[in-house]
Amino acid sequence: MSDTDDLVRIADAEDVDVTSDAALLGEQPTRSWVVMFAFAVVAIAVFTAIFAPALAPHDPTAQSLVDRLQPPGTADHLLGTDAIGRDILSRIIYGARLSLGAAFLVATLTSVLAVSVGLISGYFGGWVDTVIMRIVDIWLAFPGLILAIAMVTALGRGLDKLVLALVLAGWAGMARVVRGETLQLREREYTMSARVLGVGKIGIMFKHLLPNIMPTILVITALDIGSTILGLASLAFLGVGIGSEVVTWGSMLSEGRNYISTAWWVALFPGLAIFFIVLAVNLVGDWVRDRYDPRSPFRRAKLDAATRKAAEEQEAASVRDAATAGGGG
Amino acid sequence: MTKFVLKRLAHTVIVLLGVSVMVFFLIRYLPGDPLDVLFTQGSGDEVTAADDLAEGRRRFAEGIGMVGSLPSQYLNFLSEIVQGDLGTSIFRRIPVSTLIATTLPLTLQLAIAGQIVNILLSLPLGIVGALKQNSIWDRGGTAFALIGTAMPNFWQGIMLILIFAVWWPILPVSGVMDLGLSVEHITGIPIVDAFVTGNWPAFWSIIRHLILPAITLGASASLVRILRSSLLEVKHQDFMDAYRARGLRERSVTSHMMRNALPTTVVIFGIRLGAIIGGSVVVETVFAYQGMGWLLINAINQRDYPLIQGIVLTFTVFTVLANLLSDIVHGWLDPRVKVEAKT
Repeated sequence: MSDTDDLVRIADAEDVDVTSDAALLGEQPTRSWVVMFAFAVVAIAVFTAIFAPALAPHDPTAQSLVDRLQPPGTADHLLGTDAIGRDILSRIIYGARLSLGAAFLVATLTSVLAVSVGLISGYFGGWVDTVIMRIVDIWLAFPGLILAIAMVTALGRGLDKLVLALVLAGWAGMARVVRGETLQLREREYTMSARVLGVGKIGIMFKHLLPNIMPTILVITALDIGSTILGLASLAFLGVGIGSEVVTWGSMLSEGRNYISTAWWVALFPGLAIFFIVLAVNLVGDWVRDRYDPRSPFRRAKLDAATRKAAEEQEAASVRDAATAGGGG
Repeated sequence: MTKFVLKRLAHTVIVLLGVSVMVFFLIRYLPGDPLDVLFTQGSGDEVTAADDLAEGRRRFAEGIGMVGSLPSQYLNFLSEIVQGDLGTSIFRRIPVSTLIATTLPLTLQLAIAGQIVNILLSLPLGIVGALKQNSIWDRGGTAFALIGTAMPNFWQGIMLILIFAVWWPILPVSGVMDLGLSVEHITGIPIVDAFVTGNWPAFWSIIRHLILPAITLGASASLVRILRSSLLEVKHQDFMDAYRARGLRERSVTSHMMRNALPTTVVIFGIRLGAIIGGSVVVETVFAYQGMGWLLINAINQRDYPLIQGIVLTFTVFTVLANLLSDIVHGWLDPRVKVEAKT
């Protein structure tokens, strides 16, 4: 939620442009083995989430008072058990379902909402644009997590409402970027010619403008997923909107905190799970940005290098041609 | 400069009005009417006659300003909040403004302590990273920041408790100061009051209680990347070479670089305040630090709507004002901003 919001707001401010090449000049592209590691972690997590029932050694909700608070490595419980004897490994495996599934859902719905609002605002302009952008300003005035908490309070408890609350709390920053891109593309020749050819407004927006802002949308979404996972975990940890009735890493941590003086493993492992998945997702997000963001300095540098090389080759060829021509004459 | 400030001020007023409308509707459009929730659940008191319940409900609705048409309700709400009246907490039966006045200083104290940790970590890492670009220090700093952002701060807090209170018990883990200690109320900020009154045992206790939450809040070193990239942006500009050509020593060149990288850093710091405030809600809950974030989570669990409304509003107003302040400081540091506002 927060970090990309920041970037978005900075990018939108007229005076500072952090996403510009100059500001990012110093960012090195992430090393390839790091990216490989990140992709591997994400792949494993997705695999785990999908095949949770087959992979989990125990039922994540099965209680056993005989086996309560068993340390890691005890027979049959690789990562130990919690205060009512539930297997921590199995709970982490099932927790991946919710963390990844809900984050993916939030990211998708947020993009759909933000893109629709941004396209309409940017394409129609005028008072529609003014009204929408003032609403965006107001939305962005709220601290991200506070707005999410307020939304959850208004909507009530439950996983579906939690997802909806995060979408409603997080769409504004992206809508603003989409609107900015739309404003630029609206005046391009191909948009004009489409309009002259009689393509309707909806057609122009979704057939001609949308594909061209797709890279930006992809980049923002990729950068946002990490903070969405953290936001979900924070709310679950705080017990806002969702409690221990669903197996989540956040609620596991909040239970683990109560036993921290006697059983460190209850809180350690779910936190490690969140940490690794967020780290990996963020690294993948950076990679996506380096690769697909049209404003990315790396992409531009590559393009420049390619253009320069082509120009040099051409020059060399023409020199060679001249030489052969000279030699022949 | 005056024009620039006025322009930003007008924008801020509009945003704050919008924020008040939104908070107003958020609380009134709860799916279950809060009054229904309050007046049907919980009591289980068979003796209470239906009439009494209806009467209580009516009086209560009046009390929290939920009678009359929506526009008039909103105008009442607005005139009350402008006067600093945020209603009365349902469960504590104390004015919300009083509750906020006692918890806000604690949140401020924690947030500032957290930012001191953040700056102490970020400043050296960011500067060394930019000066010795691509060195091992630079890569280490970037990695540190990457890890810091990915680590959930509530987990970081729990792990700090595990290390410094369970395995190696040297620091307290909850509350603002040791039980039995108290400070005279002067500014409301305990650490300042203890210092002013020379109450050293309390002062020491407050610091010890601040260490772990402040590290949790600030150790993500969120400023490293911002500082580093704004320094690098300046580093590669032509006037830096001009300074060197004029024979300035490298140390003076570096100080010029700092001065020019400052405006961007200040603005981004201001923008990040929202995230810092969100973080304080979580950290206060982990360490049972009785600030506004801790109070908010309590209010939610008790469905204390006037209190939730008041806290959300206060947090947001603070963020908006902090953004305004950082913009003004930015305008003051960077003359280009003022010029743009004039044209």
